[in-house]
Amino acid sequence: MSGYLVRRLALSATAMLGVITIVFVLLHVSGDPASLLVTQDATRQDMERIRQAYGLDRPLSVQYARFIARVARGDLGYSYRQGLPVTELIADHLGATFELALASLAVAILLGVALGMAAATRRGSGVDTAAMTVALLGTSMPSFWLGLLLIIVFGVKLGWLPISGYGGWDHLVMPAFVLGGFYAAQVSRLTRTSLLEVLAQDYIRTGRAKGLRDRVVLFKHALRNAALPVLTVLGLSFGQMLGGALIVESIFAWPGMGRLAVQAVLGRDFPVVQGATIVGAAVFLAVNLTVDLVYGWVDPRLRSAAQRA
Amino acid sequence: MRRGRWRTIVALYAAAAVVLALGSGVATQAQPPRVLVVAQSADMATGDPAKNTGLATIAVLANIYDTLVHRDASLNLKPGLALSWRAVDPTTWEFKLRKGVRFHDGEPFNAETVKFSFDRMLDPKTRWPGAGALQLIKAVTVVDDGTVRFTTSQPWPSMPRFLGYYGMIVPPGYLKQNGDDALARHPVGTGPYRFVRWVKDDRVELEANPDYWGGRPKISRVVIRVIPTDAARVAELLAGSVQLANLVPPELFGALKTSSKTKLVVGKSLSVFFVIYNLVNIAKDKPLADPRVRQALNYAIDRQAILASVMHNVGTPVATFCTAVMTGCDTSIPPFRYDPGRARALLREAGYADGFDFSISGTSGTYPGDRDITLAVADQLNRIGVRARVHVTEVGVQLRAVLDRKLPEDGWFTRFTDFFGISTIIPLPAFYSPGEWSQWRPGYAPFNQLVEAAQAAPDEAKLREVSRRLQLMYKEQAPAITLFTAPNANGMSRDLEWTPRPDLELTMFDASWNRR
Repeated sequence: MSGYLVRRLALSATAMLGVITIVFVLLHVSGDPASLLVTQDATRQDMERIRQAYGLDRPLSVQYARFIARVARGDLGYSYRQGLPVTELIADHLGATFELALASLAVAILLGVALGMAAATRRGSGVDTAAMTVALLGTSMPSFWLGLLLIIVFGVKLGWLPISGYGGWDHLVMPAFVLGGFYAAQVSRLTRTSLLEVLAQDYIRTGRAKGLRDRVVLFKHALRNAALPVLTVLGLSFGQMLGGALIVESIFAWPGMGRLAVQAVLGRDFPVVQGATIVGAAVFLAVNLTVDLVYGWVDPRLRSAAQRA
Repeated sequence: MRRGRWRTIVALYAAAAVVLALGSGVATQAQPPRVLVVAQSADMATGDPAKNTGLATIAVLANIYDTLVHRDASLNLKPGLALSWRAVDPTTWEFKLRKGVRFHDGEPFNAETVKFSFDRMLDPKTRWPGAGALQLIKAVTVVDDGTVRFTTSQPWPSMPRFLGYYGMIVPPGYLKQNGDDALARHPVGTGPYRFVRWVKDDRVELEANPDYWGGRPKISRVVIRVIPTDAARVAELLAGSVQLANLVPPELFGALKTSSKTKLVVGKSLSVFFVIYNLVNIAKDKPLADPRVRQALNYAIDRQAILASVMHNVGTPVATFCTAVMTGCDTSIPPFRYDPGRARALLREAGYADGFDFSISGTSGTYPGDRDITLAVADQLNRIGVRARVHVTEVGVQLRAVLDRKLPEDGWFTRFTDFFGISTIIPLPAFYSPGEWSQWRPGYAPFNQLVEAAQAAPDEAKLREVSRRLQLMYKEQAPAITLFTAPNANGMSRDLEWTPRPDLELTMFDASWNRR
């Protein structure tokens, strides 16, 4: 098991180095931070001074080597635009992203699993059709559209919820619903398919033949087995949510990682983009690793297979 | 046990439903707004004015810090931290300072703090992106506690106008004790509002400075929120949770005008939209090398029609590179009138009766209405036989190409702004051949000489005279299709009184509630 972990970690580090390198190259060939940092009144000397100050006048290979060396020491550098350490900026935004991701995950699980179960247990009925229609709408409605619609109805017309911003839990409701709703749609379809497959298995029939109640069959035997693929998707989704949800964050003015990263990309604030990418990749890989470990807990067969290996 | 689990799940769903339903009640209580909530699309980058010159940063910091010179909403110069100023000789300005002023942390303001602030700003190690604008300042000397002198490397009659926008005064003691990063996180100035709290990318909270030298602000608490999506910013206004939103794009004007709670307030503008011709090393046989062709394209544009259809009639056609509110801008020079007949005649004269291909590099979402304006311009050019096409590019990529003089297109849609409010400033980076953004290279020597003459003008009278000649020559040479002013449109709650500033600073000192 520990050998497996070490291999996974080494693989993750390689993946991260790849991500960092690609981001570094793409950023440096796509635009000039100095031109976006100054106002239109700036002179060529101003820009040269900025390029020198940030080492942007050095060959790309030198910039890259310095950058990797710094990252290895845990130093993500200073933002060009804000003049503050990148680690501090990320720490400021990670909390909000985490809150939104957790709330959205809750929405995705509660809504997605409920819809999927309702559809699977009443296959072919009106409930099934309704649930899957909702799921279809959930995946196909663009989040900026759904977000603005909710804002108009619940924020402007009814005045029930704050329209945007970061604050109490009421600020979380709409963004979590829009972001989580999208993933709930996927989860519900997957739950339905997976559950239908399990419900057709022999041991379910045996359970029913034994006289177990439907609920027991569903929750104790079927759902647990059907949960494996759902867990994978939830893990991936959570990783994506933690990377920052730009559109939802922008519409609802949520101060998360997505906005930090995109503002940095638009302003060619290289250190922040790189920092956000590294943290995003690390979080994503960590979530994946966790999901793999949770797998073993949910499915003892995997655990014993790992031990045998 | 099993039943228990089922109940737990039902209870969880029920609890979630109750929480969702209850949320409604809590958030709805509409109270008369005591706290003024202002929304802009981006956050301030830093609390340290010597680190950033971004619009969103200055808009907020102008509440916390003061400059030596103040400008009113029409950009007239007024005493700020300096009570008066005079030119001792052509290269020396003397400022008499206000006495008894203190920073928000109690530190006294005096001549030393002025010298410290300017030395810090102009020190290359500070990396202030605005240093170029003040590069003529050679030295700042303390005469006595209440007097400072600025020595400049050449006569600089407009220096007080520059100090009406740049040059926020920072507290030396606070910086020495706590370091640069502390000011970036927690700004301390002498301004009408004191910093309370900053939640990055969400809000900056301010409270009135009761000891402000200009009197206590009428509104005691101000929150400046960051709402990046235009539609959400306007939705907050309509819902009454925000009372002022700046830089509203034209497509949302309608909602603000029709609501009973809001109004659209348009301020004077310091920004001009252009399609700047790519004249980098242009061959003599190319259409754009001929000034008649460059003028023809200007005659082909119906500016009022574009303003009406795209900008909801917010904006004024502009004759040259300056707007009416800028010092020395001659408003008697008329903008190019819409005259497609004249445009065709000029093209015929220049030997392009059948038109030519003309590509425009544009952006989408960078400037208000940018994409639609560019498409409308292209459409109008097509009507006189010029085969115009628009290529929409990401702004960072576009600016890089412009800087490198490698723009593949024949024209560049952009907006130039001069926050100092002086008519001769925009030509310097935009049209003067050595200028940073200039695409007019090698350009036209008499024009370049006039730009230089404007920079060296010994007094404001001379500056005005040179500026007028420069404007006339610009119109005749037409290095760009000059369009109209960019909107300074603000959505406001009907019970708020405030005059939008041309420099887009969101200073709330002169804002007040209008109780009906």
